[in-house]
Amino acid sequence: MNRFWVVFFIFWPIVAIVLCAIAPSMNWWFPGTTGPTHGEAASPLGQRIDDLFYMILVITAIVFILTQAALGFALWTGANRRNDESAKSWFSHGSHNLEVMWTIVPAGVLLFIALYQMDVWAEYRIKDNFPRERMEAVLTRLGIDFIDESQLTADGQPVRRVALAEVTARQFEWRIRYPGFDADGNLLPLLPDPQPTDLYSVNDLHLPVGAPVMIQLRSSDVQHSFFLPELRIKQDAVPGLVIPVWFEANASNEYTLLCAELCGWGHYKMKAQFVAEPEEEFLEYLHNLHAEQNDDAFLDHLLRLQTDAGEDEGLAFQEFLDQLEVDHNLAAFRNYVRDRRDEMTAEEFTTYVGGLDAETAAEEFNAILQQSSAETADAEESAADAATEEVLEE
Amino acid sequence: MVMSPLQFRPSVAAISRAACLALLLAAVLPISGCSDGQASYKHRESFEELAPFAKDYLGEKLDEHFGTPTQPVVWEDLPLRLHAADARVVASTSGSTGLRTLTVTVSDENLAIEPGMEVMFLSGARLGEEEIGWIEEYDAETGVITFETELTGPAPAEGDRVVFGPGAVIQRGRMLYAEHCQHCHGVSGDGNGPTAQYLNPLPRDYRMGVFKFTSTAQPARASRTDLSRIVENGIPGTYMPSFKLLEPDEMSNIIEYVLYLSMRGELEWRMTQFLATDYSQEAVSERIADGESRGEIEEGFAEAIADEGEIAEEWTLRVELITESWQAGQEESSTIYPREPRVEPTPESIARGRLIFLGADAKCATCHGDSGLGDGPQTLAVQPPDPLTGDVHTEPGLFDSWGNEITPRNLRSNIYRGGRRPLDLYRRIHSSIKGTPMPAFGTSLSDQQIWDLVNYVMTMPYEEYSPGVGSDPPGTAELRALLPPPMDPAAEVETPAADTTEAAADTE
Repeated sequence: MNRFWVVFFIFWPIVAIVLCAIAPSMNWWFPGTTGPTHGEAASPLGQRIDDLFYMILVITAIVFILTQAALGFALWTGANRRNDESAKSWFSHGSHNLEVMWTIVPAGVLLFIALYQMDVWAEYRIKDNFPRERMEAVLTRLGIDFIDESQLTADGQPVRRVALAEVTARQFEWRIRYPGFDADGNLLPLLPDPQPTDLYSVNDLHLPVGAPVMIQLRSSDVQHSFFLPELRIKQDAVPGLVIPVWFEANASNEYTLLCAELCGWGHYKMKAQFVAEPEEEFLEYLHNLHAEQNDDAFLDHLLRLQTDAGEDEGLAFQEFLDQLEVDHNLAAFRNYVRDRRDEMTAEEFTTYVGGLDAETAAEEFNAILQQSSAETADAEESAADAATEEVLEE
Repeated sequence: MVMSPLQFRPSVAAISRAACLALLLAAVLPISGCSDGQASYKHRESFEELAPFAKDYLGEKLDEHFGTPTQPVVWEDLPLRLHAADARVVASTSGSTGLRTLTVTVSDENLAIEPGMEVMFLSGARLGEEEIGWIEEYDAETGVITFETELTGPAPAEGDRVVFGPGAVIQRGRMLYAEHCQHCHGVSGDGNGPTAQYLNPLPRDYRMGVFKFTSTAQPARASRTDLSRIVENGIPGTYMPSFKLLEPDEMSNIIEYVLYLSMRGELEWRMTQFLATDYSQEAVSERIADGESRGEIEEGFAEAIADEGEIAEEWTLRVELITESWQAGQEESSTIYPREPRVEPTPESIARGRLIFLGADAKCATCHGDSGLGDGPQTLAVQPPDPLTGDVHTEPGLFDSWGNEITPRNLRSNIYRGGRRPLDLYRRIHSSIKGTPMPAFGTSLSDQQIWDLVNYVMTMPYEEYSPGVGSDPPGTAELRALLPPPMDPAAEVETPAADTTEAAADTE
């Protein structure tokens, strides 16, 4: 019976070791095993963090196996000892040598881990180490003028605005603010305060892939935590603080963004996606956001004029113009076409006005352009006339 | 009218998963305690004030047509996407014992047609047959359905209406609603779930059929797109979070269920209102005091609920009205599109918008305040009765149709609940925020004026505070001079728009 208990107590550590050994191959492992990365870290830093984890795992596994083996040995010899009442017990307690050994060896191991991991820690957290040049190269490629001459840092240098998005955690969602475009279509730097040009999204963070990028993290209510499990990035969002966080995704994918700080009853709802994509796609995403946020749906009005008139036929061109005249927005339509003469083609023109073949459409299109520019010229002329008259009157 | 209580047919995998869960939970349940899991709809307060016989009648009528939250009834009269798919029979073939395959043309596919779904005939010879058909195989290209087991009984004719997964949309919507929405919006959609008590503003109560932020004209209902936009983007500045990561079909299932709850709630509300005039406890006791006997009243009630009785007619009418108004809201023609493109946000346009904001035509500033901080004088005035519910407010302040005190939006906060696109602001101004005192300006302002106003409102978060003359943007004085002079000389002393702002600036 004694031997049964020895086997029983040794059986469980063996199960534990086997489970640990097969865990990676069974995907019982790091976060994101069911995601696109299958548990592999999706960032260079994350891979180094995983390496540290593996190293610690190896050390603890060796210690675990040795101690369990020692325990098993002690149990086995104990179980084999005959129940001899005259035999004397042997006490290991108070062995100076042993105590020194099991103090010094773990201390040495801990000190080694503490020193060995400092490099990774410093790369992520020490300001001097952060990959400024590579980050700024991304901004340059995106065409952002990120050096703000109007503001100086403490040491007299212009402020460099390297963040690409501001992520605000709130109960229970992630609100994101991107910089917008100026009138010439250049991407602007992200300023600390909201700007009229800014672009907004929610629960959907898009950033360039393959290079370090930075966000500014804030919270608008309680404490949250910005957690990208697949990238091994976790940073608390603290009310009242703006915390820069940088990370680098090494493959284009949709990753999970979670809140890792119990922030209230809806904590579980705070799931968003982080889309790492090539720079062109990121720019295109911002362009789409810009177009969506400035859409005035006037084209929908034009299209509906056509649909209301009947699915197949649509309005004939003249009817269409008459209809616009009734609505008192024929002039607005002409201006609209004129303002978009660079982007709009005659074919596109037909989708709005309907009922035209390609040739007539091109003619009408040009006619409107000419007519509206003639009208503008007239208006300018009459304005100029009025001005001269005024001068003459004086 | 066809009604079918929903039926369940769990797959084998689902059963084994449930068994695993049951094993896991077995240890936990005795400690945590567990109700029987039977949810029930809550009735509104005015319902509880009805006479007992009226309450019984309406309660039963609602149960008959809507069931309970866990056993919903699929009521074909409602303008909802109820079933996984709707189709018409083209042809059928028979095997040795009965109906083997069916060729159909699918008209509406709300959920993908999958093996294991129930097939139900809603017209023709097979209508009302008890034997249920299950899909074994479905070929989307040819539209051929093979049944798991052959069906006995009459064969369907060409053109018979057949649905797959009857009520599946409502059933799935209910599960998703329970997971994501119910703890705030409540089992009955009354905006009073367990977490609602922690929230301000309160969650939406669907039971009047009113939703605030819509793209439709002022009197029209919200469109499905409006609801899904809100679910997708959340409402910034409130506790409604974004559910952007829901799959498109999950989203539409939730929307259908919300509409379902809204229709049930509205029907309950309208019928309660109707019954309350003659059959509330108070009305009944008054009638007894006036000499009628209780027996007479109950007799009269029985007559009114019989076919072609007054109450039965009202029920039919209400169902029709609700159905029609929701259908109308989905029509493309209900959606508001600007008839002119957005006016460029030039300083002139912004200045014009500012004059409209402060002026006497639109009277924006009377609620939103001269500075747009939401502190206009109307917030301290007693308001007329609510146009929708007729509720009378004796306390000063602005109230929404749900009876909650609300504040006009602080336009400088850079938070736009109904969306921040210029188009969203256009629609707010053009067709109001429904269920709130925000009026619709679609008829009183021109498109150009609305766009000017939009341009001004969009600059407000970035404008310096104190809107007095001292901080006017350049060119305002010239534009002010263009304003038509007040018609009545007496009015000039009382409320000329320009002077009020100057006076306000002076006092500051």
